[in-house]
Amino acid sequence: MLELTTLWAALAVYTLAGALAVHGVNHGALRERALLVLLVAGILLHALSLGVRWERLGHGPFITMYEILSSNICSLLMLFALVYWRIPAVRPTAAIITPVVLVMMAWLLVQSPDARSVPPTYDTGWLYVHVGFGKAFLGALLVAVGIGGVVLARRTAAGAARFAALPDSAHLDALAYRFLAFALVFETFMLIAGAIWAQDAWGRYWAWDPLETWAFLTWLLLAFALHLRAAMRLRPAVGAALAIGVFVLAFLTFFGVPFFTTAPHQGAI
Amino acid sequence: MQQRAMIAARGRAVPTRWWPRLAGLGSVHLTLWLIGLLALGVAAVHLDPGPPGWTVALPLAALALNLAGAIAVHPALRTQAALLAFHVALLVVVLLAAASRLTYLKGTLELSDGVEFDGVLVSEERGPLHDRVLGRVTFASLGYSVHYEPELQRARTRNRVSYGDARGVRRETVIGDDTPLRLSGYRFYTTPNKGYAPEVVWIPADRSAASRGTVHLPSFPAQLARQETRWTPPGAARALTLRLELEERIVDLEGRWTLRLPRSHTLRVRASAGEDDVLLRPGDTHRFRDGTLHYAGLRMWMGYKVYYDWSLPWMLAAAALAACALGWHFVAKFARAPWQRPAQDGAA
Repeated sequence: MLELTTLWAALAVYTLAGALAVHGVNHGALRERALLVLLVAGILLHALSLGVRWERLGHGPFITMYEILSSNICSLLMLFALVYWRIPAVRPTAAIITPVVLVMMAWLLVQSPDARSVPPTYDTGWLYVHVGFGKAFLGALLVAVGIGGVVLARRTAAGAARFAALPDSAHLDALAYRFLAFALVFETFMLIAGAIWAQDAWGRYWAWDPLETWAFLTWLLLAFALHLRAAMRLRPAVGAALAIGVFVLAFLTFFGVPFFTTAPHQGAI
Repeated sequence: MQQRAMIAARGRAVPTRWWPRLAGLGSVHLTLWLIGLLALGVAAVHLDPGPPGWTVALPLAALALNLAGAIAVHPALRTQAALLAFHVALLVVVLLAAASRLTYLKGTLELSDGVEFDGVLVSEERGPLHDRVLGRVTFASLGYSVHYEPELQRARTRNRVSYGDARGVRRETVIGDDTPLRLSGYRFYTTPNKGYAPEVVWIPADRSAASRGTVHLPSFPAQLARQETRWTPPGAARALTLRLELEERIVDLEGRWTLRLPRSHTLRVRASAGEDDVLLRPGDTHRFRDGTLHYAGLRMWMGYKVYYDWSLPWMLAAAALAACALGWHFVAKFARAPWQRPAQDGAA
């Protein structure tokens, strides 16, 4: 009961935070501190809900789509809240990032919260390392998407007016690049930890299963986006579009692969 | 000529005959094309699942050359230690992956409890340079337990094995799906493929040497309803059909249970279509036209995966070095300008 109550409360607080962010940016008066308080409150409630479920089931939120979505919503917003707190320049991107997370929340609500048993191969510390880096990777990408979204929104008159207080697009682009760069580092660590786990669990470190294949494609696209900057001077809008492209591919890899293949990651078996 | 002039202008003039070619080979523009090509090759793996072929190998080889060229000529790579370390480590990973494909071995085998592995694999896939020394590896299964959760969800497998160590001393250990037995570089893992194995003694009708062995029935509980197999005894003209008939419930679809030998069962043996079935219990003997079958009892068999890849620790070290160096590079690079108003950064 506490698990569901705190989850619903967290989702309500997130929704409120999203509404505050969009309203604030639209009216040129973002209440930055109130937004941070809401984000932190939502994250604490959500973490409590996840903790209660963990305690009840005896395993972390790694098994079902419900658990994976729920824990990712929490971790993405946790990482964004950290960046929001430390880098004031990105605060208005909350108006872009929170709606993205709200879509994930809507998806979460249509998932079955039923539990499934844990495969024995999940009994390893590498699971936490792999999942942890995966969350850091997706979080860094999401921040880059928020910043890229601002750059693209500024190409319209309305967007230019609403995000006028932010640094110029060239600086935002440089900031987005930093998050993309760290996303590459986190994804590299995620792949390595996953390979170590796979070697222990299934006797092979890489088998080109659909999730591995698409995770590697995401890594390649990220490497491509970073090399493109070394090869030519990109316009901020192109950099923003690349960041969004990488995020879309990563999102499809994380949450979409199970929908178009009957043989997803062996971890699920 | 233009390339050489450009290099000279950047103060890296080493006007050898090869330098412009190396510069072209290490060009970041070429990197972009090759990454794109590799991405297409990887996408092709998704469309045609299975081990990738030349669609991945060729772009990877070209990228390795491109990377080697870039390390040799690219000033940013040569002047930034962390970035250089990342790219060198990445190159090592690619080279190790190639070497691993030449020397790896992946295979499957089946062993009944108490039977020593004789080096024979049921299936195998290996690199052309794999020097197979599996025959020197000795181990035997001493029995196993497999726990199941409701709805036939397989939980932990624990298999006790005995093996001969490097000095020939006999030892015992417990292995599983995620805990391999490591012998001479080979890693043996248990698999979901396992089941029952009637142990029989066959005495041919001409009274020549008797043979004792086990016959592996189909995987259990995957093939719960089809615990039957055809087996041709040594020297016999006709195959026998062996069918295990359990007289108790082993599998519990709704609850937790553990795979075990049945307390009570019979072995139904059919010689040919026109003959009556014979029901044997452990210790029973029956004479067929081609010989006499003695049913010694029921054992269990386990299917194993075997994997050999000497490059694993080196690959891990190189990949970890690459990731750490990349992180170090970006941390150092971004520390030069504040996060509040970052400068225009290039990938280098």
